[in-house]
Amino acid sequence: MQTVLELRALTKHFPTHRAVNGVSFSIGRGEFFSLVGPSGCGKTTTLRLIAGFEEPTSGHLLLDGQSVEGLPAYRRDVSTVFQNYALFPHLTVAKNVAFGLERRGRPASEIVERTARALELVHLNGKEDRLPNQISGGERQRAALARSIVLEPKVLLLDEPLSALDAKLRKEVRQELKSLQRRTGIAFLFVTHDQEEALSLSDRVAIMNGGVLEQVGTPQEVYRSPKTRFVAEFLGNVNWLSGAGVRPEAIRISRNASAGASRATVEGQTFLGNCVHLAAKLPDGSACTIEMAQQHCDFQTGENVYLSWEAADEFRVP
Amino acid sequence: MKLRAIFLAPGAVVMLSLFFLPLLIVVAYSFLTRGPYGGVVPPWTAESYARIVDRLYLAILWRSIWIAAISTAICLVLAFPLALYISRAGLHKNLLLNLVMLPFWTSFLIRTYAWMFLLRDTGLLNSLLQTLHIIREPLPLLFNTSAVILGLVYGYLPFMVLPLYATLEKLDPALLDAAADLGASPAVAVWRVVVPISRPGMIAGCLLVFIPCLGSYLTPDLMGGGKTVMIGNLVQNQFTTSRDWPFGAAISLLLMAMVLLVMRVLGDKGEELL
Repeated sequence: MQTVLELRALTKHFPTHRAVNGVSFSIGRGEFFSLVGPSGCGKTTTLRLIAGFEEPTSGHLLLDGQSVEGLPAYRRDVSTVFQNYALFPHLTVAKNVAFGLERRGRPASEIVERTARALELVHLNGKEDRLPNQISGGERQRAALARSIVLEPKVLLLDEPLSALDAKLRKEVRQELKSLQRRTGIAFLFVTHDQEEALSLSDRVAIMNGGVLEQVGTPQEVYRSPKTRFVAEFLGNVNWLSGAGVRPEAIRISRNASAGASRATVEGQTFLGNCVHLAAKLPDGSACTIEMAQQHCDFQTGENVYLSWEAADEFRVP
Repeated sequence: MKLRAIFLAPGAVVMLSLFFLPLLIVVAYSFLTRGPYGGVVPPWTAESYARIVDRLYLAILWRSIWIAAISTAICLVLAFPLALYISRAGLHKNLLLNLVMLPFWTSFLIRTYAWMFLLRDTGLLNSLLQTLHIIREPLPLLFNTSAVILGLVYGYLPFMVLPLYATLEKLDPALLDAAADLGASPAVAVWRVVVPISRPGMIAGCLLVFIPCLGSYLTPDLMGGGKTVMIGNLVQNQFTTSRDWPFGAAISLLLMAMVLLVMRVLGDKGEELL
């Protein structure tokens, strides 16, 4: 895959802290790439460095193989979808979308045509003449997307674009976002603190913590073979059993002993709607969570059970 | 209900007795005839209003309007960058705001005399320039229309800065990032985003500056040296030297009507744009 954006040891120090510390990764053309981590991990600062809102302390930033160092934000061929959308409140939806094309001095007919196409792409036709405060939160989010996509940037930077939406809408928009990315073929750099969002949407995921990049890989790689304890625990529940990590859903539970199975005692269960989390305790005192379907869970508290898992589902971290 | 009346009464009494009643008196006077030694006598007449349509008075009226308009425009141009800077100044915000309001701590009269001291022929500025041999004859800095405009701009600049600051302070910084992100240079971002969004503050500031400028009396009197007569001076003149109270009252009401008109036009426009 051809690289469209490359970060080389990118570093940003603020007077009080090191927000980004030697971060390197590259994004391919048309790739959906997520940057995920807890709040304050430096992911938003990384995004702002790429957009040009902040100057890096050191390191390099290449867009399509060209260094963008010293290039102000308004000359960079990337575009940002902001967390609160940052739509211009005094301009209609259509004028918001046309803003970037006007700055680039495109002819009026082209602006009209491309604006209409972008609005159609995000299903906002019919709302052209509304002001941002006259449309819903979901529509604002799509207007912000259209405003960036219409410019056909080399990379679209999305700063937690779903966090302002309610949970149900968020899942719908997630799918739309994915399909939009496929249809436009624009590389997306998606920043989120929600690991589920990152795993479900991305071609590749980068996990950041404390300003440092912990791991980059496909969702399957980072989830199934995390390289650090932080990545393992950030991306989902994990049981640490005799030094190895095992996901709750990879553990099989049985009343009958079998070769290699560990004996455990059921401690209780938690109903989570789509599944049940069964808490068990091993003889060495370590706790273990087993995820299973509600209808398979007829275990009683205090019952003796045997736990087993495939060696392939086990991972070790330093 | 009763409690509300108790709280409303003092204010209502003050407004009725000290504002509305005198206003009615002014209206009544404007329709009476001038007394030989000031004051008013019957009969009722609209002659004072007819007299306003005199070239001399219309010229004064027109001059007042354009002096106030120019002063307001200068205030706007000076205050906008200042307010924008203060709104982004972070920790020094309060200090800078206090500096803007600092002149209010002394009387406007004293500050006007201070300007006269600076600008008069033997004033600080002219003396300094003469001592440095940059000029031989003192520059005519005082007692002209420019001096009046300077005095008005100086006096009312804070009234433009404060409402502008209030709107700019609420401006989401992400909008500036968004403008830059979409290809707007800082200057274009200010012109296309900051200026339109701060329009309500501009309108408020323009009203707060234009209205007192239009009716100003002290500044043209002192800084203009009586040579630049504005409508306020005309009113004052009618009640003192000319002893024509009905005419003075009529001009006062005309001034008030003009202010209401300006508020109406700017106010409506402001709502339209919002």
